[in-house]
Amino acid sequence: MLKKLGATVNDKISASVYTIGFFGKTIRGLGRFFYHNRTSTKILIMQILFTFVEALGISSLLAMGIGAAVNVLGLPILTSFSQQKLIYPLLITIITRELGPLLTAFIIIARSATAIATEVAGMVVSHEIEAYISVGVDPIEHIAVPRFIGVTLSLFLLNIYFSIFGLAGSFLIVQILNPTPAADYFNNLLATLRISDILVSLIKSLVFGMILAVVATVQGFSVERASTEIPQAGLRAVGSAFAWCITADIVISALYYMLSAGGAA
Amino acid sequence: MTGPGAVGQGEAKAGPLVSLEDATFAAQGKLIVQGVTIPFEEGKTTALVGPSGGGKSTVLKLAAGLIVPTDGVVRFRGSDISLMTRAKTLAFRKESAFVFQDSALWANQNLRQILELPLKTHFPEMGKKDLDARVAEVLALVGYRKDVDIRPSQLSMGEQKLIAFARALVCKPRLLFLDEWTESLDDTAARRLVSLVKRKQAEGTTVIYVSHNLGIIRDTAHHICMIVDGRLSLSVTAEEFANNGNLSKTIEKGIAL
Repeated sequence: MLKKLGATVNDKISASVYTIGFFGKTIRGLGRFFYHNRTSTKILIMQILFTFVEALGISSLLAMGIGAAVNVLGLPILTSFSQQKLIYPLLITIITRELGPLLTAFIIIARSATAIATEVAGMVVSHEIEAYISVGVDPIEHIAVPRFIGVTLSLFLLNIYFSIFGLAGSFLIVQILNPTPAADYFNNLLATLRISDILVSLIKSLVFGMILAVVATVQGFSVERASTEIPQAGLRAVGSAFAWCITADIVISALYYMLSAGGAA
Repeated sequence: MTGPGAVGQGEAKAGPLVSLEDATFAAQGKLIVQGVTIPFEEGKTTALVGPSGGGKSTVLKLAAGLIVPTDGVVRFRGSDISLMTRAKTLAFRKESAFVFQDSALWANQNLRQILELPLKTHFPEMGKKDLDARVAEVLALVGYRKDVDIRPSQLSMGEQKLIAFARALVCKPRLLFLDEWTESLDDTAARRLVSLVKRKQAEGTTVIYVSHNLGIIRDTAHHICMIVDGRLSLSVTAEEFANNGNLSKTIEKGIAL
């Protein structure tokens, strides 16, 4: 029992060290991608198209839904003790700072992390990765780096879009519950919005983007030879990406609150 | 002149071009290749033969530096392949090429892109005109005459093998690794590839291949190595294979398994 537990812990540590090493190699490959690579640009463009552009629809729906939920649930409660102005910090905290980056990451995990992991795993099984190595193309630079840039950039942009759409979309719901002039609504939002809220949101989106791009490619590369491993790689990518993004979210939020509390003191 | 025609072919040195020295490879806790030592002489052709699942393809991939031995060393011109610098690795890749058993063409690229990628990697100075010319030249060489703006999934297995051969030859390599290279080809295409390999041999190209085809082995190999259960069980010259009845029978039996 103890031996089995020890072996599992050992495997997990080895996998984490490998992932960190892979992340390091990906970061190192960024320079070469921008200065020397003229063959992987298409992969980057396709990745942005799939991860950002094609996710705008579902992102709009979710952002609008969250904005509506905050208004529908929050406004009556806040109005009942004459604190309806608190709806603005509530909207910014939930949409921009906390749920926005996390839900955007979840959308991308469900769409792109599975796609990347299964695509890369398929390439390993069909020996396409070995074929890249055989012609002198580094698979990390050619396969992982454009996906890393594409996913991170897409999550960053999609998060901004989610915040804007969530806050603006909720304005429509406010019109039904508590008609407010657009100028008042947006002035109040802007007055409540702090630089730190924007910064935390952007940092989270960048960190989540990097995490899920690396986790998905690592899981894709981790298969050996059987085609049955391909969907398993996709599933592992989803599970790991969720776990790592939630952990990172907790750490960043905790740091933010600790620093805010320190600043206030 | 730009492109593969201008390749520096590397200085000839004493000793084998590629060598496996006590190479062992294990995966998922299973030993696939055990303590194999084979020197592959420059300009010679070596056939790796043996029963299916015996580790021939793994030996070939070890020699090509596609996988790293878990024990032992694989050397190219005396340098440990796994310890080469980036520049040296790139030079090795420029000088060598690999044809995979299942072709391994990149599914998300069209044939033109597949053939251009090695050229763009090793000859970044090549312009579109030079690229087009070299792609057309190598396609004519392997006898592929159809559209090049299609994906590999639109090709038959035999056509995929031809494109895999074209990809391998596009940079004019001096060292060829071929894994089951005539499998899934019709007789005409197979004959064309055999004559192509013979032409490369005449030009001094070192060829290391895996095959079960006795006719091709007799026709092209200078050296025959039999791999059984991951071990080198026999290593003979083509003359010994042709003249020693017992050796021939052993190898023929091994191939037939």
